[in-house]
Order: sequence, then C-alpha cells, then structure tokens
Amino acid sequence: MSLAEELTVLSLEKKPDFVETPYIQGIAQRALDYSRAGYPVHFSGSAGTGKTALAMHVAALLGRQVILIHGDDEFGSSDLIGGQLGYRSSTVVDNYIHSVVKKEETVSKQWVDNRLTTACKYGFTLIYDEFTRSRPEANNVLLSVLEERLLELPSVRLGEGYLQVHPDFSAIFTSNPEEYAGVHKTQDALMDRMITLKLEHQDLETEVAITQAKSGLPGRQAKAIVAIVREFRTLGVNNGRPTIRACIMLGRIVAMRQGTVAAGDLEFRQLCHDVLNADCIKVTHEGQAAGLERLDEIIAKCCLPEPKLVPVPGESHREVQPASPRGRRRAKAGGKGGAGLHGT
Amino acid sequence: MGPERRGVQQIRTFAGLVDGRRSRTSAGALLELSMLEMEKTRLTKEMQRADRRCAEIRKRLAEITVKQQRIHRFVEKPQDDGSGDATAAALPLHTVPVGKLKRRRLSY
Repeated sequence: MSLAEELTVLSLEKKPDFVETPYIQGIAQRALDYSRAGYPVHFSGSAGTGKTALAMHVAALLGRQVILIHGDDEFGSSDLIGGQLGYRSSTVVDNYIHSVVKKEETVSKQWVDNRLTTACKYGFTLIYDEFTRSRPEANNVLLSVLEERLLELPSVRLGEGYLQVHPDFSAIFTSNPEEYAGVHKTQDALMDRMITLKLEHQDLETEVAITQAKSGLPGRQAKAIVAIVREFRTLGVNNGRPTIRACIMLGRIVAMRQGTVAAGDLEFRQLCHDVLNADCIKVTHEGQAAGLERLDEIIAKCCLPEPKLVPVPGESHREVQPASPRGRRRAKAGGKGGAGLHGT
Repeated sequence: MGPERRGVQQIRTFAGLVDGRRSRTSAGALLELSMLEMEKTRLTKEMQRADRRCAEIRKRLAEITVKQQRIHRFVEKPQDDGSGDATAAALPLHTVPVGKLKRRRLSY
C-alpha cells in the first residue's frame, strides 16, 4: 500500500499584486493551449524573466491540484517516484488450538510514493522548477511518463510494476540555460518531448507594472527605476542582469523610506549602487572599473534632476513646507537655505 | 434377521440394566430424578462448551479469510499464453483518495 496520503498538494492562487499585462497573458495563453493539448511546457529563460511565476500561473489556470518539485543535484529516481522508505510490522497470533498460542511477527519495508508518482496517479499538475539542477539520470523516468504516459515502477513495489498516467496529468518545467553553476545538461530525448517557450525580459510596460504593483510606488517613480535598470542591462556584460528583481528591490526600499527617485538624491544613488553593485564588476573602461560611474550617468539620464522649491515672490519669509515627512526633515536639517526638496 | 448392530451405543452392560420398577417407589423416583438432573447438567455444560468452540472457530475462520487475502498478493498470477481470445485488461486509473491528501494553499 502506498502512502500517497502523506504527501501535500498545493492549490495555487494569485496574489493581488500579480500583474497580467498583454505580454503575460499572451505567454500564459500559449502555454495553456499546449498543455491542454497534452504536451509538457518548458519555460526557459535567464534569471528574473518570470519563469516560475508563469509556471504557477499556468498551473493555476489549468485548475488542478499542483505538485511542486525543485530540481536538485542530490536527486535520484527514488526522489521522484518513491522508494522503500518505511517499515511495517505485523503480528499474527494463532490460537487455533485453544491451549496452543503461536505468534508470528513480520517486519517488512514499506513502499512510499513520491511526488511524481502521486501526480501521475491522480492527475495533478507537476511543476518541476529548475529541472536542469537534477542529474539527467534522475530525470530519465520522465521519458516514458511524457511519451507513453506510463510510469515504470521498481519491481520491489507490491502490485503491478506499471502505473498508467492519469489523463489529467500535465507537467510544466522551468530552466535557465544561461546558468552555469549547479546545472546539468539535459538529454535531447527529454527536450524533444516538451514544448520550450523561450522567455526574454519582460517588456517595458510589464516591468513598470510589476515594479509599481510590488512596491506601491507611483507610476512615474516606478518608470524611472525601470528605466535605470533597463539601461544598465543594455551594457550587456552580465547575462541579462540586473533583472526585474532589482527594480522591485529599489522600488520597495524607496517606498519603505518614503524617499525620492531623483538623480540629486544621495540616498537613492547610494541605494542604486548597493543594489546594482554586483552587476558593476564587469563594467570597465580602459582597464579601470567604471561600473559605478556609468551607473551614475544612467541615473542622471533617467531621473529628473531633483527639483527645488522656488519661494513664491513676495512671500520670501514664509517657510515652504515640502510634501513628504522625509523632505520636511531634510529641509529642517538643511536649515538656513530655506529651499526644501521634494520627490519626483 | 436384521443387520448386526455394532458400536458403543449398542454395548449392553450390567450397569446399564435399569430396574423398571424403581421409579414406582419414592426412593427409586428420587434416584431417577437425580440421575436425570445430573445428565441435564452434563449436557448443558457440553452445549456451552460447543458454543464457545463454535465462536472460536468462527473467529479463526475470519482470520484465515483476511490472511488469505493478504497472502494472495504474493501468489504469482497465471501467465497468459496469448493464445486465447481473452483481451488484456487496461491498467487501472486511480482516483484521488477523498480527505486523505494534505492540501495547502500557495499564493504566487
């Protein structure tokens, strides 16, 4: 007897800040069509292109329970299909002749279904995230599942050695072809069985919408942040980085600080340096590191210069209060100049 | 001449001879009554013992049935030589066990 009931299945639901632009809807609809036609879908793209989120979105649209697996180098076949992971003890007390008691104890290993088997058996949707992080030998079992719709189980398992894959079973894979750390090559036979959707970075509209939704910043500020990150990305030295995650980081921290997105704002510039610093390393000019300088140029280009409050003529003695609390603090600290600052 | 009767029931002993006149006297009747009562007690006990034994047998039969079902899974199924007209059965499809899988909600 299998212990499938010990596994957990997931019901996916969208967060309120999940963004569905025409770009997202287009990809999701294509993937949904392929999946409904019975083909496994594979989202392939560099970091930050939204592979996992799209996989979850498509799985949610399919309307079945979801089993989630993250690829791992340590995985073997048994981590996918199951193995003899437990023990069962049974005792038979034979009292056929009332004056004689015969006791027989048996301890046997117990077969436990793992996630792939459960998904195949009951027709759940399998999301195999970063499947190239598992060794190809571990993924061999998927070949017959995806083509013959048959899961081959070891003979040690009681009962039939074959499991018919449920007609509602569908699989969604994600992988990052740009990644070089901790990933394995995939066998052609497996790639041949799935439809691969190459994902690029989202379009401008989507990135702005995501940044705005995740951070809560106003549209203009979100747009400026996205512009900085996209411009920096075009330097093209770092495998498509920085990604939308950098936009979200910048946006959330600016929103938390109630700060500004302005070229003249030292805090904002420092924040950009911190968030994007790792991607600056490879930017050089005549052998010298020039990443931060280029970043400053991009910030100056993409952000409006920090506007200063101009005193109203004739009311030069009246103190002009900046809009934000941070601006008010800065105006108080800056003191005598009298000119407060406010954000874009 | 009828068939020869054999067996324990047919053995006649002196102890088995009963004086038919004894129940006609008071002492004889009392003796007869006590003998009948003793026989009744003995038979009742035997019936109770048989009931108890029947219950044991029924219980054991139930255990045997369960054990048979369990052991049957280890028995090799007869090989189909393929010569017959019998069609192979399709592999079974499983249904989700109701209320047994743990379900969790995940927001993305």
